[in-house]
Amino acid sequence: MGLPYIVRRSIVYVLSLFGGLLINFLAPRLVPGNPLQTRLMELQRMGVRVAGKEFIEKYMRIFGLDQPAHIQFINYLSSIFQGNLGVSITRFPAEVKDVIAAHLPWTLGLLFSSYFICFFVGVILGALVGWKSTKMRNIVLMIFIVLSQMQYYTIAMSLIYLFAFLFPIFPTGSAYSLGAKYETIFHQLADIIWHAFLPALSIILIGIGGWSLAARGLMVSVKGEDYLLLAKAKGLSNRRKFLYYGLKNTLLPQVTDLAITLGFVVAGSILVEVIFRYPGMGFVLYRAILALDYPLIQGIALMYVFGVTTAGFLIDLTYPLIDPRVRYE
Amino acid sequence: MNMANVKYTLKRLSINIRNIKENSYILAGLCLLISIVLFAFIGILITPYDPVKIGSVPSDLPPSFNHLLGTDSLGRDLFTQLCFGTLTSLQIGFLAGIIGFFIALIVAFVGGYYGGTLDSILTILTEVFLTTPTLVILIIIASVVERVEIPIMATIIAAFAWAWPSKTIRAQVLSLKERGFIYLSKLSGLSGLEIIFKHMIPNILPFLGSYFAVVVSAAMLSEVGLEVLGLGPRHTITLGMMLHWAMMHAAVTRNLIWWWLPPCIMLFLIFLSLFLIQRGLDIIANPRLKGE
Amino acid sequence: MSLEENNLLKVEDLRVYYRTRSNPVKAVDGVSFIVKRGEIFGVVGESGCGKSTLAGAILRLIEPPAYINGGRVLLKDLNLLEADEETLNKVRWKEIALVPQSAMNALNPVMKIFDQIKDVIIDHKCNFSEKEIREKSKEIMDKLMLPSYVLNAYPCQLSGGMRQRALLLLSFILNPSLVIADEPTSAVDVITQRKILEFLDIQKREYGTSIMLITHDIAVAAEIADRIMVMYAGKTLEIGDTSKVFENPLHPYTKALMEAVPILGIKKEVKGLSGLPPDLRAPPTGCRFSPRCKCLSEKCKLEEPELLEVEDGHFVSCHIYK
Repeated sequence: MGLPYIVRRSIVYVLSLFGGLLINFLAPRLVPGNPLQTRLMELQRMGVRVAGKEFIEKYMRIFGLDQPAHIQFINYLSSIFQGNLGVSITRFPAEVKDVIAAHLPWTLGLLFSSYFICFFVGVILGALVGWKSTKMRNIVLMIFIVLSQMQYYTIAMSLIYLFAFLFPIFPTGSAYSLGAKYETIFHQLADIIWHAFLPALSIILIGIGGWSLAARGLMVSVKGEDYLLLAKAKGLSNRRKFLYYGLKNTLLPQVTDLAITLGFVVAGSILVEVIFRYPGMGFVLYRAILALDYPLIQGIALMYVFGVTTAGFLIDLTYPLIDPRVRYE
Repeated sequence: MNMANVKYTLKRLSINIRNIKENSYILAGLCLLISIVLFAFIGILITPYDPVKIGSVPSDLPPSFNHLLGTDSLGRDLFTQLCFGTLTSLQIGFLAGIIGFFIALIVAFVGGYYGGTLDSILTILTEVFLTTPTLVILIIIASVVERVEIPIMATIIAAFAWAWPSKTIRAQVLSLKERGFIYLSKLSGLSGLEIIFKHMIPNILPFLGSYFAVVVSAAMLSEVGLEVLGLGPRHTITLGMMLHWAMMHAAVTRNLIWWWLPPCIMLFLIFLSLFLIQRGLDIIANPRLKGE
Repeated sequence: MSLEENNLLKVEDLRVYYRTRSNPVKAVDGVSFIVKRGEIFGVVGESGCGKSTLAGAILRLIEPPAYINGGRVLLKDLNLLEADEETLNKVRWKEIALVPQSAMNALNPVMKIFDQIKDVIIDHKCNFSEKEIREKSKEIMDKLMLPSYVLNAYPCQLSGGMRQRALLLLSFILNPSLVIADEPTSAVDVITQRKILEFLDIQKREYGTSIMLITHDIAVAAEIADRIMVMYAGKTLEIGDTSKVFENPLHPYTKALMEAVPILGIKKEVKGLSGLPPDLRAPPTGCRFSPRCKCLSEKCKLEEPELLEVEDGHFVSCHIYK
């Protein structure tokens, strides 16, 4: 990893963010008619209390809709950098950034835990199958491969049907029981986990297959390497051979793939949140779409773009630090 | 296009067709896909109901002889929806796939073959499109489009589906460039386009086929993702939209399994068939994989 | 069935074949020899004669499509080919260590050199402290002229020559009775070659370690080997004290090998050997060298010669000597 690599990843990162901002900016403007205004008119007609004129004027100021396009864009960028993502229509006068802040932790919690669990379980399973291919291990692998071919909505809906409806072990949605009073923090934690279980499981079940398949292939090729033969010649224990010579060499190269599949899993998490009515950003985004709350839609979308591209960028930067082969190239 | 070229192309085609016949993955995938299309087609022909018109039939009916899959909460026959929806979903998916694939081909070949700064720019562009989460950007765009119709949706989806195959095809082009016969073709004075069309593409047809199946798969994933969130075409029915309506009316917890399960199964079968085709073409392209 | 006090390893009629779609490749086909305590035993032969397969077979590292088709490998009382995995693991590295042929990939790329030394010490239940390990390593590294930063480095940070020497360090760290060195000098420059050979000689003298030195370069064997074995097409052709074999090469092949090596300072005609080694899926009947041999009798094509002792400790397998 040298300077050119960092420079290139940085350029891609900045351009991705810029592209996201640009699309956010252009989308409502390229469509004939101003969807924001149309929407506001509709709401006003329906008698929704949206504080009409002041609201529109505030928006004209923020967006500078009366100014030439490039000035508007600069204003837009500067307000974004100041952390001002606008005001939500449906939750007026709540600011978009506050809405996001309230729901972001749920998404992060769900995403992080499921993504990492599915990575580790998947890679370890694949590594085990690649290391020693027993019938049992292969069957388990096959199950997960088939599962991974399903989609998020299928698994989510099936899980709800099976485990929240037919056998009501888990709740059908939400992140916590409404209006519940908790005795201790552990009770609260347990309630949260109980609610998060099925949504997380949806994400995990789909993800394992892909990682396992890749890990198995990698482990099979690692097994043929000279250093594994030497490990055998050294008379090392099976555990040590598997963990330090096999698994470590299988796990490390796959870390970069975490950045690549993140976009896909984030999209899936949005669907999962929606189906489970899990109050993360994805669910709020869904409601915003239904209500055509443009500021909120764009604010959350931007947040996702920022999150995914930044996470990917960070992974790309830190990977050389953990893999000596890349670090000392 | 002289006789020698035609014969050569035909010969390659016949080899490929023979491979397809021997390859059970591709056969299985194609059979599955064709059966799905036939099923939907026949369903459309025999059903008397309108898939979109609200209230055309009584709502929330369980499956019966009149309504093979029952009806939904908006008063529409579900079996009709399934058949129309399947075809529409496939339409959008394939349309988006074709457009996206063409973009990918152009970007990959222009960049890979001609190299230089043009290639650097195109590669960075590809990576930008790869790193940004597609569904999110699609949401931004689709939410402002007032009337989402099939061609518009397909184009929007295609605009983001091309990045991944473009990267892999470019890698193929790069490795092809190093091969002896390409070098010879250059020396014998053939133009870039000629080399690309007559020599490069025929040699990686199985790869291209495999990537095409992947693009269609990815396009359908984006499509269904958008539709489940409610951003699909409003005046026709697709499988994703079926799920959207099912969710809006809490079909899972109301035990209306005939509403949400059939579209899920149909989508699973479609993706499965695409996966089989892709895997089969992978094996033709890369015979080493056969052992697995 | 014990060995004489002086003998460390006895290989009897070892056969290692490779499965193919047609006939198996008889890579090692009835090889027998003894390695004594505290000696350097050279195994010489051209590429493909079965030397590396032999090395792997001794520690039972053979993996499919190769398989062991017979013979015994006796380390004191123990037949390594029949021992259970647990016993074998105790023998591996502690009694017999292996320096593999290609150093480029033999070290674990994601572990530091020091950790790769430590893990074999731990797994063989030798209770050395970290400090002791470092000291012992430094001792050996000095002899190999390896700088001290090597211990904390990853293999990718080291040059090819350094990796080869790191492997040597690794193989001697448990002070085994026998070290099998498979072409330790082939992939390195002449200076490193010299260092390595000197090191092996020192280890033999100071610690009494036996070394089985496998090489295609007969000059290298001539440098430090006490006894030498010439292999060809999976068979043993000649065994004996180095000096005796060089002064009086008995087998026609050995003679040809000697003649093929140019000697610095002496202008002599360097003669090669015509022909190619046989296809080991269908080796020639009779003596395997017969297609390329100059002095042929009818018997050579029909009957395989046995390994006979012609003079004291000097064995040859050729019909000339009966």
